[in-house]
Amino acid sequence: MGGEILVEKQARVHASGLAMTIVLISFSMLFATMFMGYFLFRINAPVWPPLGMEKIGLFWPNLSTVSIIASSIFYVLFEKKREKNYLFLCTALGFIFMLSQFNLWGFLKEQGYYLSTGIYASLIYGFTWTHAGHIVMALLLLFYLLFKINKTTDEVRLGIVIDSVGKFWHFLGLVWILMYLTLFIF
Amino acid sequence: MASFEQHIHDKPTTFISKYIFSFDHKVIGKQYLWYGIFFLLVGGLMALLIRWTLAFPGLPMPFVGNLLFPATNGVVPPDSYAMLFTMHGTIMIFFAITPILIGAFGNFCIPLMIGARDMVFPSLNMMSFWVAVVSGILLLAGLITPLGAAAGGWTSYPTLSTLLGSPGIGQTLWTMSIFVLGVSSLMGAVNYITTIIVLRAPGMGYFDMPLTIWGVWMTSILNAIFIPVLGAGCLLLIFDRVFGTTFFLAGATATQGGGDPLLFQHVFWIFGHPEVYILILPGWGIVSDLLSFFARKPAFGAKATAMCMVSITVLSTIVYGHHMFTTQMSPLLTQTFMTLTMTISIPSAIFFVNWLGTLWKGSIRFTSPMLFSIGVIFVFGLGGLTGLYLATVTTDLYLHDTYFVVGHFHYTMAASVLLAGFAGIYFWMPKMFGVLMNEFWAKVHFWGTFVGLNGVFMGMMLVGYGGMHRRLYDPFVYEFLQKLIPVNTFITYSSLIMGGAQIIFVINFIHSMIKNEKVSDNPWEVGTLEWTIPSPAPHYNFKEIPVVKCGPHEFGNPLLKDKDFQYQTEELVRG
Repeated sequence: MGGEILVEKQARVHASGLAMTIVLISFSMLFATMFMGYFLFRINAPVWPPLGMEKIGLFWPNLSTVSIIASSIFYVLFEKKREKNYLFLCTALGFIFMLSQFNLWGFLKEQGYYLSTGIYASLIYGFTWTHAGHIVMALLLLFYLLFKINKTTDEVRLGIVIDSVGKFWHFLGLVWILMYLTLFIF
Repeated sequence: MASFEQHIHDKPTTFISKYIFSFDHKVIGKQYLWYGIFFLLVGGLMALLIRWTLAFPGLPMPFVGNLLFPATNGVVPPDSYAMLFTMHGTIMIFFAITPILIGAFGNFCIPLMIGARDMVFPSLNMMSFWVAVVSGILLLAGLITPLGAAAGGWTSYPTLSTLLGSPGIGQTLWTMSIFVLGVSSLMGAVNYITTIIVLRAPGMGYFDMPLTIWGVWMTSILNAIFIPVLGAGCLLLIFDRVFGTTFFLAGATATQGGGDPLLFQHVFWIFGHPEVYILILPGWGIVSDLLSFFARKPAFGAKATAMCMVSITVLSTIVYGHHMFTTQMSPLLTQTFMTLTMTISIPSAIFFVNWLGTLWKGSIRFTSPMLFSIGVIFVFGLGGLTGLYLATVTTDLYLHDTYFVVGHFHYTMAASVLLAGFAGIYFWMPKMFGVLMNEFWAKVHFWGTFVGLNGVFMGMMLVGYGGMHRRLYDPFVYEFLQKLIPVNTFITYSSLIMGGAQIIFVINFIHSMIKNEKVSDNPWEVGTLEWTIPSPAPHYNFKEIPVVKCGPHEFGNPLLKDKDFQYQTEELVRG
């Protein structure tokens, strides 16, 4: 009987891990499509950024990058040590990431990059919105985890949730780094 | 990988937990079936309106005309016509075929055929259905908006679908609806793939799975990978329409860099070509199984059939350019896409040989599911072969966007999937509802549908070859097309036959439900796992998780004395 329960635990962990991987493959296809569009626009443009546009100031994107990387690191620490403080720091940094995104949008507006100002602005807004939409989902999951972590008794389920949220969070960090490198740096 | 045993859940007692927010895969499957049949009806009636307009241009529609189009005295006006073909395509593809073939049969068959008690994530499964309902409401809401529903074709190419082409909110609702439906499909796909991998009964290897499961599995994989591609396209289109970005608006502002309408076509077809295989793979799977079940022979080359499904799945992802030959692609690229597309005929041909090999010298039982399955061979053969002319650049340049294309994809997607779907419904009726439908009327239904659909789609190919373009409100303003009016009238009468035959199905269905004559557990004498349990299937499916000992198509073994088939739970009888 004990052996059977162990097998079932493993199977549940395995199934959830598999499902989350499929979800992430799907999400990466979403972003891959957007990157494909970005590269098409970019290689077809005679100059980049398009004439009359300048590169965006890097202050807010830098802050975003630092906060999301640090946040991911704290999540890894949380996964290892299972201490709530790390999770709290991770969530807080995720929140700072969102704030920096809002500031980025404000900054873009100040600089005269509106939604209708051509493809360069469209790309930056489109990418950051889509990414931020996913970040909001992930933040909700992190909050859920914060509230749940000391209350739940189902250890297997908690492990699955921690694992899945972690995968999602690291994935979003990775997508941001790609966006940071392609949209803002190069 | 260890498979595991799910616990038997308590039997749901309240109406809501039993029929509305049910976690039971069988109930969700049936919910998808009703959902799909409802939209099939809506889409079918739209098709009849379209056909009326093409056969009798300028004449008022009898009976319903004055009700639907009072402003024009019952004549379908041009803008409504555009709306009709757009909504017909969208509804049939995303809201009828997808829910019936993938939603209903996927949900119903996967756990039963692999020996599981339910899907691995039942609540995700339920959410998937209700998200699909939201999507359906969003789509239909478009019909009551001031400027009407989307009218840019089911492909929704910009600039037809940007604010320039369709200023109304209908197109925005369409785009949102497709996005939401994508979320629903993704939930389903994650569930299906994971369930098939982790919940197969002990002893069931991948090649012991019925081919139906292979079909649904491959479909789900394509769904998980390519639905998000369209999702991204829809998202950008929504941004363009609602927030004023310029992804798909061509270079109005040269200095700042304009968008590119063609980008949407790329994105759409990167998704769209796998999508046609998403639609047909479950049908292929069902037919491959049924042919063996009713020819009372092991499926010829079952492993090869499964591997062909896999290779078609892979190939379908790299051929999308053949939809875009006329977009001034580089000739090098068109040749590449042409060659790759032609390559698909290799696994498809193996597929066909296997089907015919299964039939060859079988003790065929001409039951209604078998008739429909054989019908699929015929119509898919025609559809597949006419695809070659569209894959070839030189012929496609002439045939592009004509009714030949319409005939071709209706043969492959509409006719084959419809027939496969009916085969599935007739076949699994005992397991779904515990009754059998009347065989005689099922056969009448088959012949009516079959004759009707061949009249419609063969006629479409003829007029397309004659040069009639699709999506024209009144093609006969062009003199050279006027001689095609009689063929168009013929198509419309055929479509009435086809539509009328469906009434037989509905009556037969309702009648068998009312009569409620109990059937045995295994009326078709088939050995797959779902036939080892009572009809209709109890809410826990299997009291004991079965142990699989042989493949799904063990028929006609001469060593068997009293019957000609074996259950998958029985040890294979060897000499």
